[in-house]
Formats: sequence, structure tokens, C-alpha cells
Amino acid sequence: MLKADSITDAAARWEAETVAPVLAKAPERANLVTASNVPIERLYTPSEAEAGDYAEKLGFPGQYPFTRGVQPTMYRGRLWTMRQYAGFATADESNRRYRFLLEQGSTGLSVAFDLPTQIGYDSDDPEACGEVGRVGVAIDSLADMEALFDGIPLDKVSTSMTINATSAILLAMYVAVGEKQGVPAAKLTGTLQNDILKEYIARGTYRFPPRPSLRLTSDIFAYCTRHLPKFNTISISGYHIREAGSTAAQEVGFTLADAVCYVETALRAGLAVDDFAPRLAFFFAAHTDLFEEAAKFRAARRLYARIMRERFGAQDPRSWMLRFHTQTGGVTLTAQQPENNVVRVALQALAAVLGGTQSLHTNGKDEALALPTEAAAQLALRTQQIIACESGAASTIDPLGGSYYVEQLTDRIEREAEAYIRAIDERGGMVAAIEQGYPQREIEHSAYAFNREIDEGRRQVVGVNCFTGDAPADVPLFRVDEAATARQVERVRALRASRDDAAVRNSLSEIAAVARAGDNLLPSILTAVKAYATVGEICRVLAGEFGEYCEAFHSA
Amino acid sequence: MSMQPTIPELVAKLAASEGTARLRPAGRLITAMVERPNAAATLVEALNGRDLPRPPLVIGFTGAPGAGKSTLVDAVTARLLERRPDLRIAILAVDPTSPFTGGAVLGDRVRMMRLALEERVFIRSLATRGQLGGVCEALPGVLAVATLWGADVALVETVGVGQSEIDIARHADMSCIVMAPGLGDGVQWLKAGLMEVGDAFLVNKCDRDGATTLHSQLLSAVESRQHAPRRRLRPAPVGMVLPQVPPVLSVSAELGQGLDDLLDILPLPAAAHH
Amino acid sequence: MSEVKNMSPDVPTFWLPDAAPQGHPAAPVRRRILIGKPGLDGHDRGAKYVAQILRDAGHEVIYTGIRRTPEQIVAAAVQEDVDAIGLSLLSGSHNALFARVLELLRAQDAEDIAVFGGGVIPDDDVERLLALGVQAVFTPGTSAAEIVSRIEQVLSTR
Repeated sequence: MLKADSITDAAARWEAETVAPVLAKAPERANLVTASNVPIERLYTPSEAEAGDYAEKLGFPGQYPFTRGVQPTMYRGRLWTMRQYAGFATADESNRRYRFLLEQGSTGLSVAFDLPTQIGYDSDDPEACGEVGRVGVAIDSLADMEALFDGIPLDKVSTSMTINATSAILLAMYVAVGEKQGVPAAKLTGTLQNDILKEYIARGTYRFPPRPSLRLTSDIFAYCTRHLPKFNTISISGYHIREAGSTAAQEVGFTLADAVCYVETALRAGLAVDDFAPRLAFFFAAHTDLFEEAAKFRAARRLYARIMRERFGAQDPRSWMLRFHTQTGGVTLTAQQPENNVVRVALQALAAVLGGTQSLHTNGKDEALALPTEAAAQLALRTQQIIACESGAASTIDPLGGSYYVEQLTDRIEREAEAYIRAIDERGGMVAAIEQGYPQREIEHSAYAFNREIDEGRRQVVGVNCFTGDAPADVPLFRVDEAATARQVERVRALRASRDDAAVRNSLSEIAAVARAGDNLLPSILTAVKAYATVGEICRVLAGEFGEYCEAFHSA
Repeated sequence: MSMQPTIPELVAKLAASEGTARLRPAGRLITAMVERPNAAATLVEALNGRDLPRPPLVIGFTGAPGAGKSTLVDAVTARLLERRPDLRIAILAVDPTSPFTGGAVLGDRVRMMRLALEERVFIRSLATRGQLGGVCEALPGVLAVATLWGADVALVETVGVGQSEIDIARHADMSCIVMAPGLGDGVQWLKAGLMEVGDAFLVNKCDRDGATTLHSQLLSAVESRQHAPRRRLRPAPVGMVLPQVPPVLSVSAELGQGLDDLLDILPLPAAAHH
Repeated sequence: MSEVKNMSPDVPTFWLPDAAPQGHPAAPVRRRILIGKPGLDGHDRGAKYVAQILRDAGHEVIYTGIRRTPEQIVAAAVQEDVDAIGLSLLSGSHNALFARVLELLRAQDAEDIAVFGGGVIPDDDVERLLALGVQAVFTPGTSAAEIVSRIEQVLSTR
């Protein structure tokens, strides 16, 4: 939109050029009115007199700089994807939970893997002791992956997989399951988390050092560009940075600095920005400060659009769009008075919707204590459904746009986040900054300050340091079946006894050879998983070539 | 409160133990050296009449925070274990005590955890407890315990310091000054003090931008001092000859580069002491 | 610097000798405490915070980082001769890993090292861990002051 445009003309052009084609393909939901039957406009904008720098800073939904949203009709067309993160014990048990969630109206799957799978140890590895099937499902081989998606047609669901260090292997398994179901790779939809940088910064689930890990990342970008055009190749995650104790601005700053690093890595590997950037996705946390959080999402969109267009010269508007998944903040849940968490989750989910999220996971009220029970997971999903169907927040686009408060918060977060990105550039980019402990230290400072404020009562948390004293509610807790570990260990041992050993051995030496030669690792990994090589075996080969990362300590 | 064993009891226990059972009495003796008054004197008394091993070769690693001292000590130890299956190594890592609370977070072990289960390695974290100079007051007593444990080599990592923390040179047979590119001041940081006590200068993270420049700056700084008399805060061990111009080496602890060159300049004992 | 506050307001505080001499411990008895994370979960926010509040209370904390095996933790605890070990765990693997740490301490003749636990641990398991010999378990929401005073209190009786 040109600066000289009057806002009325600009709005009319947006309706004609941006909205109309979308409406032709996907009409808006019917009956968009308030609870009192007042019709709700698609978008509310300032008056001609108030418009000011509206065009540069806010613009129109679906148009640069996307402050108000990435789609022209947002939730008036299609609601966000309600995607509940789940997985535990063995593939069979998780498969039952997925079918339950789909029956309850979930519109996408989100697979939680256990820690041994995420780091690349088989279930019978001594390193996996005590961890099998705990925080997610244990996947050792393609056989487990087949069981995980048994009866779930992969051309009908989109699947998000929280997997990073071992993402290439799990992606290969997903492709192989698709093939067995008769679904070609090109039809698979979903998202691979595949964000290794934040593992070094905040989450700790790394295996290999940063540089070879980034090579795996760009191998995945290149492979998916050719073979899985509808799959999001990465979900660049601020969520875990926030969980580790960052501020909202640090969450945006470090996440976008990670994005810069991934883009640069892919460019160095010879990819063209507009070939892979449209499939970069993001993942943020939503905390309880409703306005700050909504502003955070808006700021992230605007800043990212500018980075992609100005810094990387992307031409395709889809390369400028920051599309993101949101999860309500796990650390905000309290063990005390756990029922209160229902309210926290509702506010956080509302923040995500007001901020224009593309998909959303809502936490169970019991998750400060354990994985959620089925009932708690259902209530969490209902929370999203109430926001979608009853609150009216989904009836117009960017309802908070134009609030003095929210716009100033948006500007401020954008400014602070940009300063972090600059600080990281000055340190030689994100990998160097991580090696120097910079983001880790910044997050640690914020986390310490925040916890101190709560401990000293300067920041109030209901039920924790104020309004305490009610008898604790007795919340039933979900328990992972202890026998599941033994079953899984048995399963992987039986698998090793029954497969074609020569094929496994050959495929593993092929991976080592490709790793040394520097070619794309995905085809050889795909061959290995089809031969039922295990996650642990493949990772051992890769660790032999790449080395293993060792944490550094960066004390304040 | 349970009774603390006396220093002579611990010495006897250590002498009577073998293998990993030696860790416990050695650990407790170090605590005694740090905590108890006159501990070193009591120890010397307790050792009277015992057959004592030779003290270890003490190598100090000092340098600015962020130079990668812990990672380097970890890498040197791992390489030394490979190259010399006869030697035992004690690592003493010093971190600062908070002047406000007296507390400390000692985090050097984080980078050395792969050594935690090595039978030939003993690692102890020490806090400065108000001592200026980059090490801790009890270091001589701690080195004595390392000797009793059977250390052939002791690697002492100092607090990440400025240029005045040079006490390591009073305790070490050889002091290595560790630097890395990208820390800002470069050679400016090496004023008198460190420049004078350094027996070797190490450019760590030699794969990074700026390492070559730092290396050549260090070389010229070292060479400009070649006619100045070499003085030591502690006599060189018998048989140890240090070059007039201290060597400058480029290493990468992370990538394992240059470690063999570094080991080559360490005056390692020809045979294990034990 | 509490003494300073009682001085005449005319006296510039920088003329006064340092009220808190270097290394003066805040705690009545300075303890050495190892903080580590066994198992594979990498969420170290809680562990780092506890390390910092123990430092602030005047103790020496040996921080060993994430993803450590019980064997590594016990070997470090013995070499460091700590008074206590604090283990933080969020993944639910506590039963197996705490039991292993206690067993290894016994094997090293180091049962006098007190073991504390923290993390997402259900009540039934807390009972089980206490019965195994863990001194106290701090579940989510326990304040810093409670953690410090409980550890100090347990150590003072040993």
C-alpha cells in the first residue's frame, strides 16, 4: 500500500485484491455477530484522521508487514488448528490417545516423544534408564512408528512432531509409514520441530555439536523442498526459551535470531530463500499477561516480515509471513490450587487467539504435577472451543489492533527483540553467541530475577504467595504404566532378532559414508529406517562422525 | 553432629584403600585442608615416618573468563590419559566466592563430566573464599592431598581473572596463560604480571576468526621481552628447563587441535610416581 | 551493610571500611552441596535457581549440569566431599534414578551425604522416596526460603 493512499482507499483495495480471492476459495464462517446479534465487521481500522503511520506499522491482514495477521480473513474463514500435544508409554497406548483426541474434535496431531527417542538412545540403552515412555512415546524403530499411526490415515491429518536432535530419523520414519499406507510423501502435511539451536539455549535435548546439527537441518530443508512440499520443515521455537525463564522480548529476539541463523545456513547450503522460507514455522508460549502476550505475537510478525524482506531479500510474500503454533505456558501452572490453572490456561489461550496464532495447544490443569489425565486434556480442549465458539474473539481480525496500550507494547517488544538480534549479530551469529553462553546467560538472569520476585512477594501468584490457604484440591493424576518400559525393551530386542541384519549393517555404513562425504543424509537415513535400523543405532553412527555435544556452564 | 574423622585417621584410611575407595578419604582430607585450622601442619605431622610419593608436576591454567580454560583442562586431561596410561591426574578448579554472601557456584565440572568416572582422575572444585590472586589459600594443602592420592600431574585452573591474579605462579611448576579470540582486549589485557609469569601462551579456539592475529600479536609480545631476565615466583623443578622465550601455541580444546603440541611442551614425569 | 544505616547521614558511606568482609558467610555453617540433574531431561531452570539461592545463602554449590548418570553424580559428590546432593528431575524418572544414587552412595561408604530431591514428583512417590532415604523432596511451588532452611536444618542434625 502506498503512503499517499487514504485509508479508505487502501481498505477498499485490500478487500478487492487480498480478501476477495481468499473468499472465493474459502468463504467465511456464517453468522458472525456479537452475543446481542450486532453484525461484526471483518476488520476495524482507524478513521482517516487517526490513520497516521497505520500503513507502515500495521497494514492489512495478509499483507506486509502482517502485524494484524497472516491471513486476509483470519478466523472468520477457518479457526486455528486445535492441536493437543500428546504421547506417552508405547506406540499402542499413544495411538489410542490420538484416536480419542481426533474423536473429540482435535484437528491435528502433535506427537510427544520420550527423551531417549529425542536424544537418540534405544529403550534398552543404559542411558535410557527410567526415562522410557515418560514424557512422550518411545519410538525405537519403524515398527513402533507404524503402530503409532495405525488406523490414522496420514493424508487426512496433519502431524506435528516435537523432535529435534533426531528429527531427520523420525521424519524418515513418517515418510516410510506414509508409503506403507499408500500416501506419497508429497501429500504429507505437518510440522517437524527440528529446531536444534534452542536445545543448546534452553531445552537441553541435543546430541551432536551445533555445526553438524545445522547441517542436518539444512539437509532436511533441501530434502523437504524436493519431496515433502507441504511439510513445515522447522518450527523455530521460543516456547522453551520462555519456559527457561526469558522475558517476552527475549523470547521473540532469540527465536528470530535462531531463524536468522537457519536462513543463513540454508542459503550457504545453496538453497534460494523463497524456496524454503514459506515453510519455516514458529512456536511460541502464551503466558497470562493477556495484553503483553498478544502484543508479543504482533511484534514478532512485524519484525520477522521486515527481516525476511529487507535482510534476506525474500520476494515471495509467503516468505515474509510468521506463522506460528502456540502452547500455553507450562511454567505458569501451579501445583497449589491446581483448579486455578483452568483460568490461567483460558487467559493464555485467549492471548494466543487475540495474537493471531495458527494453531494452539492448551495445557491440562494438572500438568504442574504430571502428564495430563484424559479428563484434563479434554477440558483444555474445551477451553479452546469455548473461545472459538462463544467468546467472539474469533469473529473479527486482530480485535486489539489500535489499542494505545497494545500498540505501544507491540512497538516496545519489537524494539527490544531487535536489539537482541543485533547483539547476537555482533557476537558473530547465534552459534557463536551460544558458544559464548550469551543467550543462556541472559535467560538465566531473567529467570533468577523473576523467581526472586515471586519468592519475595513482589510479584503475586494466586494460590502460591497470595490468596493461599485453601485446602489443596485432590486432583487425580495420570500415571504412565510402569510395565510399559519393560514391554518396550522387550519389543526392541525382539525387533533386532527378527530383522535382516545385513541390510541394517549396510545401511548404517552407508550413513557413515554419506556423513563423511557431506551429501544429503536423508536418503540414506530413509533406507536405514526401512530396514528397521533403530534410532539408537543410527545416532551412534552419526555421533561417531559428528561427535557429541557437552554442555557448558555460564554462571552469572 | 556425627564425629569427623581426624586428619591422621583419614591419612591412614587413604593409605589403606585402593581403587575408587581412595576417593572418599582423599575428598575428606581436602575438606580438612580447606576447613580446619592448622590442617597443613597436622597433615605434615601425620605423614611423619610414612613413605611419601613424589609431588605431582603442577601446571596452572589461567586467563580471562570465556577463554575456555575448563574445556581446555578437560581436553588436555583426556588426551593425557590416552597418551600416558601410567599417569594419574588431579584437577583442581578454582571459582570465586561471592564477597557478599560467602557462597559460590562452582561450575567447572560441567565441562569435565566425561572424566567423572575415570579412575585415574580426581577432580575437586575450590572456592577462593576471599583470597585474592586467583587461587585459594588452602591450595598447598590440597596439592599435598593430591600427592597422597597419587597424582603424577596436577592441573590447576584458576578463577577467570584480570592481570593481577598471578598467584598461580607461586604454586605451579609451569603456568599456562590461556587466551581466545573475540574476547575484546586481545593482547592489551596481558600487561605486566601475567606476561611475566607465563611459561606458555595458549591461543584457544584457534578455529575462530581472529585467532591468527591473536597468535601473532602474542608472538611479538613474547619476543619483545626476550632480553628481559626470566624470573620465577617459584624455583623450576629439578631437570625442568624452560626456554628463554615462552612458547605460543594455537589449540582448540573443542576440536582437539594442537593438544599434542601442548603435551609435548609439558615437562611430564618420565614414569609414574606410584 | 546494616551498620552503615545507623551512622550519621553526613558520613559518606564510601569512607567506611567494608562492612561485609570478603568471604564472610551469610549462613551459620557454610555447606558444600552438589546440584545435579540425573536422567535425560534438560529443563535446568529449577536446578540453576536452587544453586543460586544456596549460593546467596552462603553455601558452596557444585553444579554438575544436565543429563548426568547416577554414577557420575556420586563420583563427583565423593571427590567434592559434599554435605548434600540435590537432584532435580522433571521427567518422571525419579524412582529409578534416586534409588540408584542412594545405592551408589552406600557402596562408596558415603551414606552420610544427605540426598534431597526436587521436581515434578507425585505425592505417592514422595513417600516412596522418603522411605528410601531421601531427606526431603521439594515439589513445584516450594519457596526458596523453605528449600534453604530445610536443607540447613537437615544438615545441622547430621
